[in-house]
Amino acid sequence: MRLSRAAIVMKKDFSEFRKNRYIMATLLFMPLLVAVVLPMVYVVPINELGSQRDHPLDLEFDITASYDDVNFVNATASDLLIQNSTISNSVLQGCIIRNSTIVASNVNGSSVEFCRLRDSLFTNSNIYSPVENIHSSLMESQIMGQDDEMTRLKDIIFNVLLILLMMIPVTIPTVTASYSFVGEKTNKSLEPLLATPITDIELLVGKSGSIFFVSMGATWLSFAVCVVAVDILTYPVLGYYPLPTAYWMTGVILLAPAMCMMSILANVLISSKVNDVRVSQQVGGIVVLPLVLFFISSFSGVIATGILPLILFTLLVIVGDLGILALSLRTFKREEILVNWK
Amino acid sequence: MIEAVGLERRFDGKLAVEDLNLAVKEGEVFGLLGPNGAGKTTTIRMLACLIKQSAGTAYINGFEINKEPDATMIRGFIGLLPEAPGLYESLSAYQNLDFYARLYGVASDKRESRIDDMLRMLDVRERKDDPVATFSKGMKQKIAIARAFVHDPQVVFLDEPTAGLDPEASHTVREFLGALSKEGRTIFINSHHLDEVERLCDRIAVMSRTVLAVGAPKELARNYWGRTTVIELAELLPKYIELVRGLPFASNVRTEDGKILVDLDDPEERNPGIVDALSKAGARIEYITELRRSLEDVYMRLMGREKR
Repeated sequence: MRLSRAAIVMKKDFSEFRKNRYIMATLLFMPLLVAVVLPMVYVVPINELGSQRDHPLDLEFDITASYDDVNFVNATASDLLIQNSTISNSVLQGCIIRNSTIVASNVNGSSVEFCRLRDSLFTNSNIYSPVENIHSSLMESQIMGQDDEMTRLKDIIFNVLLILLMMIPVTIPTVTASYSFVGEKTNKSLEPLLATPITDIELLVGKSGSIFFVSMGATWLSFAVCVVAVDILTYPVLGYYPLPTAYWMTGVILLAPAMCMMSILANVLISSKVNDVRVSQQVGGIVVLPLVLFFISSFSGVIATGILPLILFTLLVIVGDLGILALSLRTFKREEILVNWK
Repeated sequence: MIEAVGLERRFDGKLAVEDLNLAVKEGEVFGLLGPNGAGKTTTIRMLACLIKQSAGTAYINGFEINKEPDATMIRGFIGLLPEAPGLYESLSAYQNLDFYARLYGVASDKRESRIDDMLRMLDVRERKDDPVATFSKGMKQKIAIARAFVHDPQVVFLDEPTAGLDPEASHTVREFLGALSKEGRTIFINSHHLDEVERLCDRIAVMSRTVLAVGAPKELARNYWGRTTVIELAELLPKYIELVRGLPFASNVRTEDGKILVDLDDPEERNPGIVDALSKAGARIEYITELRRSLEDVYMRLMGREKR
């Protein structure tokens, strides 16, 4: 296979996409809606709920030293950045403490983020998303991020956003592929193309490649914009940047390309049976069903949530991709296209 | 250059092309005539390695069709104009041709000039940057013809090259094909345009599922109609008709529109004998000529519908 020939087809398809107003509108509208408009709508409940909660204390820090992975025992310290450490029987003043375990200590005027709190006293401090809190006391301190209602709301909203984000690599190919394959067929431009030295597989790679890159480009750009938008919109309430999470990264890096390929290959199969771009788009939309089914099952507790089920689902999609690819290769042959494609 | 041996194609068991045997010489302009459904397009598609034959085979420049790696080689040195232009409507004429030139591997330093030459010869250079969607049917056909030649192919298959074109555009296309055929390439034309084929082609084949006749247009007329001499007399009397009928070399003597028609095996040799006999009998001959049969006459006779 000569990739240079596939690249020529890709370049031609890009030029056609650029000049197709419907494709361009889809490419702009979908990401804009999912990455910008919907986050603005969906984070409203978080902000609403957040506005009813206490706000963090206005603390100022003058950090003079940083410690990572250190054991503080019987220590008295101030103005430190402490991360991934264990602090016991100590007195800390004006510190930022992250991802650490604090045991039987006295913490004053500090920011405590994602820590395990045991038998300690926190005065005049902001405590963000404690991992656990066993027998600790708070005096004139604010605890944030441990709100069950807020956490549940946040999870639901972020998962809905992820589903919508995942729609981009599935739905953009239904538009671009239907124009690319059915359009080429109804335009009768396949016959002269197939008379050139390009092989069937080079043509399939070229045409699928252009759709894949366009769809994934739009998906990843939307992802980046969505993450930034959500973080900017929720930081004032949550006090930290909630995205991206490992779950989101897995979805966008692994599942999105697999779903995109499924959508493209399904359209190749559909193209052999239909002569109308709109019919192709409607039938191609069926590909979105397994995705929606997975996420709904996941949220409703029918299947477990988390990265592992997501990876397993991605593997299932890849197996499906390979199956559809085998069928597509059988369909996408000169003889088949010219004689049997309806 | 092109040789088909017992080529056959069935669709769902039905024969579209049957036992087709052809030999087209290098540099020849060859026409394939036949009614709709005669299998002309199927023949071109098989020869261009687009669809496989059910039986028999064919060779293009010695490479066997539909047999890898020969088929890929063949696709590299042939050009094809299909029935429909099949252009990318949103792209410009130049972009359409550039895409194909790249696919055929035309060197980057030659691409632009080659495309420019094609567009100039076909009289569409002024519109090269306009989207094809804005072109008339004739202009689209011209761009599709340019596409078939953009990589300077050795063999070109053209399916109805002037279908739907106005007389002026047809003339431009004929001149274009005439000029390019002089460069020694083989051109294979499918057409319904008998007049056009007669003017353009060195040889033609008439087919209806299989080849019914092959030859140069004049040769076919002679082979299928024989040679007929037409004699117009100042006064057509029965005795003159009987006189011609009595000549030993004359056959099928008849009258039509006040003229005597006589079939002869060799008019150049026999006509003076007829003139001599009629003159001696006192007939005044207005003129004597050979009846010229057109390709249409041959075609209609081969198709079993003799022209009245």
